[in-house]
Amino acid sequence: MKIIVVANRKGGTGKTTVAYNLGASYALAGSRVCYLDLDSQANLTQLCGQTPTTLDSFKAVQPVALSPMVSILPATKQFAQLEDEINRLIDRNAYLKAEIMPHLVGFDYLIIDTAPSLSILNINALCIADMVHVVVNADSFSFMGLAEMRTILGQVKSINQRMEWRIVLNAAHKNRNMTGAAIDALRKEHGFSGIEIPNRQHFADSNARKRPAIDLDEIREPFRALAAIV
Amino acid sequence: MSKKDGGLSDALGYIMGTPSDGVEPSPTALNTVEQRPTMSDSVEHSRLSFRLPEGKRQELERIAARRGMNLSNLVRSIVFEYLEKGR
Repeated sequence: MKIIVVANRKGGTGKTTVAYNLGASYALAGSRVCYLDLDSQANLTQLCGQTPTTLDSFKAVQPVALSPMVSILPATKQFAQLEDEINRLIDRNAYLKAEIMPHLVGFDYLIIDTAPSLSILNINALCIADMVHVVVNADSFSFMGLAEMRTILGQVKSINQRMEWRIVLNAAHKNRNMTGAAIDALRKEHGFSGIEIPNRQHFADSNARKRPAIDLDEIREPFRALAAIV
Repeated sequence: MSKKDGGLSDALGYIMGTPSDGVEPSPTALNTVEQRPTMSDSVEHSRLSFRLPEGKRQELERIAARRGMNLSNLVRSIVFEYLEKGR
């Protein structure tokens, strides 16, 4: 099973939407996908038509099957409590690896959506990742967040040597002057995947309908490219 | 020019567990959105507030139950289906 983490220290970059549509892209290509929602906001959980679960249920690791192809382990609103518990462990970076992963079997891809923070749960996710997609927007705050992510990922690399990471540009407004400059700068960044997901109202419409947005070919193509990375 | 693929949309709905179940919203249900008659009830969803006509709530709840949805999500989906058809 390949483990893909969608992350950024900065919030509002579209991590959840990217995670959701990436999972749909894999499933559409015939792979079995499990989402793991590590954000207590539980937006991915809600996108999948589920409600946040209890901490005990989360720990019991019983993914909910949305279809024969796609399942989700829903988020709990009590992640803060779980993080307190994890922080008391000796090997606190290995909670997901030791307690959750052994129960997630039978999937080709695990897509982990993270909270915009440096929480111990997020570090746990990075420590089991095969690939980290750092979702950024073309603005100055995203660049600042990107610098922070580089530092974190560099540190995690010493624990998880197989981890790779790529920058994914989300919500690109190519026709705006400022954004164009930011995109040009981003294209020169080490780790840029070359994947630019356009800013389209269709994402918001699709999210409201709890449907992937990749039925629009302009959106499907960058996600197909993103899925092809791993 | 980007195009939406309706067939793919259905396939994705199935894959993601939100299939169109073949149950079309009743004309009455659509009319509740379109005609905006007497307002006596409302459904809150996020920042949107949908006001329902008097006496229609139970009918919508029955449709929602058939679809395995709650009332809020049903009304929202009706609005989107209506917008889709209007395009």
